[in-house]
Amino acid sequence: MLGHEFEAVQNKKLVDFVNMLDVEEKPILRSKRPATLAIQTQKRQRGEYYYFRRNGSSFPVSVTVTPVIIDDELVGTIEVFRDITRERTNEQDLQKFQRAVAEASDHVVITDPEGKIIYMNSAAEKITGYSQQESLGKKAGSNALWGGLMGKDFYQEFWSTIKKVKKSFTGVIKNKRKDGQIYDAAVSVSPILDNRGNVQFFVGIERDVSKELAIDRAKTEFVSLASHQLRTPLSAINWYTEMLLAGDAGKLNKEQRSFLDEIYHSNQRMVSLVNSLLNVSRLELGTFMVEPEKTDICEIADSVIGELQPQIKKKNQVFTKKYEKKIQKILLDKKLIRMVIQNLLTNAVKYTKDTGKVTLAITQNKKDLLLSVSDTGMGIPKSQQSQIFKKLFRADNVREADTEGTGLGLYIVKAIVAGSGGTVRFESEENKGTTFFVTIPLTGMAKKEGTKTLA
Amino acid sequence: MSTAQLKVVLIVEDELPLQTAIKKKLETSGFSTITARTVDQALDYLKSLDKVDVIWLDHYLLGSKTGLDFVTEVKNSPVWKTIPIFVVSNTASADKVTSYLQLGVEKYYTKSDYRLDEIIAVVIESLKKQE
Repeated sequence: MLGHEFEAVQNKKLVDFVNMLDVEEKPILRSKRPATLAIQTQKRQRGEYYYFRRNGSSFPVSVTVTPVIIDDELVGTIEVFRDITRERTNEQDLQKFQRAVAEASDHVVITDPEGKIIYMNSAAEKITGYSQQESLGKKAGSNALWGGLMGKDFYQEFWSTIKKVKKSFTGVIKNKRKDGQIYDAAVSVSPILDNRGNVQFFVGIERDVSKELAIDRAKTEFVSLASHQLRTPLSAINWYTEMLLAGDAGKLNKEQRSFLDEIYHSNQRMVSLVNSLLNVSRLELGTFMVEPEKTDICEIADSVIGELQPQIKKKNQVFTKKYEKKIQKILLDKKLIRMVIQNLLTNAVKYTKDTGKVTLAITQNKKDLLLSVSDTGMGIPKSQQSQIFKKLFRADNVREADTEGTGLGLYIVKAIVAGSGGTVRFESEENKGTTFFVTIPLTGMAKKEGTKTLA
Repeated sequence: MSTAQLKVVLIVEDELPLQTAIKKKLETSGFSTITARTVDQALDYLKSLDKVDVIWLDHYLLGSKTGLDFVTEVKNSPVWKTIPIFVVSNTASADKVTSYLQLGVEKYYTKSDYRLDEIIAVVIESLKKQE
């Protein structure tokens, strides 16, 4: 182990041919070496040191030096040492992980299977304002500490995910610092399982995302304000063009009229784009109002169909509506549900060729209303289907066919439907057609106080 | 038709290009108009004029007072409270729309979503009903 030949060191004292360092890798005085101490005190000495090999390299050892006393006389010492390189490495690894967790900038908390805190790092202390000492043994994220601000449903889902399903839970939640300040935290809680699949403990990692959310909010508010400001000049363009076209400033020749028609039409597009942007920003800000009232969804659908008649006729499309006989009136915000139907039907008519078919069906299931809008149109390319509800996204084929369109319609549909506890999905094949399926629970939309209605 | 028989519309709108357009279109449609850009100016006109038949009102105006302050004053006056008010504004926040309607204005329009002739048609219709 040391690289010395027995013959070369026979009858020599260990201290004379083995150099050593103390456990902190500092030189050690001969008088403090374990063998010296063992002889001096006549007691067994134990400790960890570094020994040098003959070739000059060093390694950690665990050393026991036992004085050998026969008839009250010290006759020698037995020195047993063991190479502890591997233990040391494991320990160092462990220390590395411990320090990484302890000094991470994210809040890290470890709990027992009941959710009671057994460890929290300094970031968790700093972010929440609670010390590890006062938190130990308390339930993580409970009312007694920084949690308890989310609804009952949230906690049910949360515990069921990590405890029963034994999967990680991620989300953004509201927390409360010790001083009462509320902040938004991106949370990820994972169960750590033993070999048998039982939860050993939970690891919760959180990050204060209040700033990110505030920036996002500011951005959305900016869009809202900017869109709003745009409406004034748009109104001026609208109204003056309207008057010119009405001949209020004198008779127009054919070309003047056609140019003004273009201006008027383009401006209408701009108005509707601004309205969509405002709607999106309200949906994202959560400042829109939901005013549910008993609504006959078929009536709303009929009025949308009425509005679309000119386009349907122009394209010579076959429009079919199939309403189940007894569709119950449910609590819906008329404007919002109208927006959903309008977006889906407008798309269907717009992206279906002349003489194509568009069908709207409304049926009632046990728990929800099902709306399906199908067309024999251009369809959504397979490779882009996963992105179709993304904000501002438009599939390549529709962008090619029609330069108008904002990529906001389906985003708005999804936001409204999801906000109402419903679902939206679709089946589509390129050049064959698309069917959108929307479900709205019979319980309807929940009332929401807000400052803005969607226009 | 002599000027005296024309219906008088008080237009309260601070954006001059819009004010001019509204004035022009109302006059082409057979109304007589007076324009104001602040709440106080509009109230002065109401006090000094013999009659105002209709009020066309924007929400945000010059100065610190808004259309809501104006409507509150008008509806508190026994003389003016019967004058129909049409709010034509780009501020479509629901709480404001609700406040206006609760105060008793005839209609609330989002400027950029309506044509002048559409709004004027409704104004004419409502005046006919009043007679």
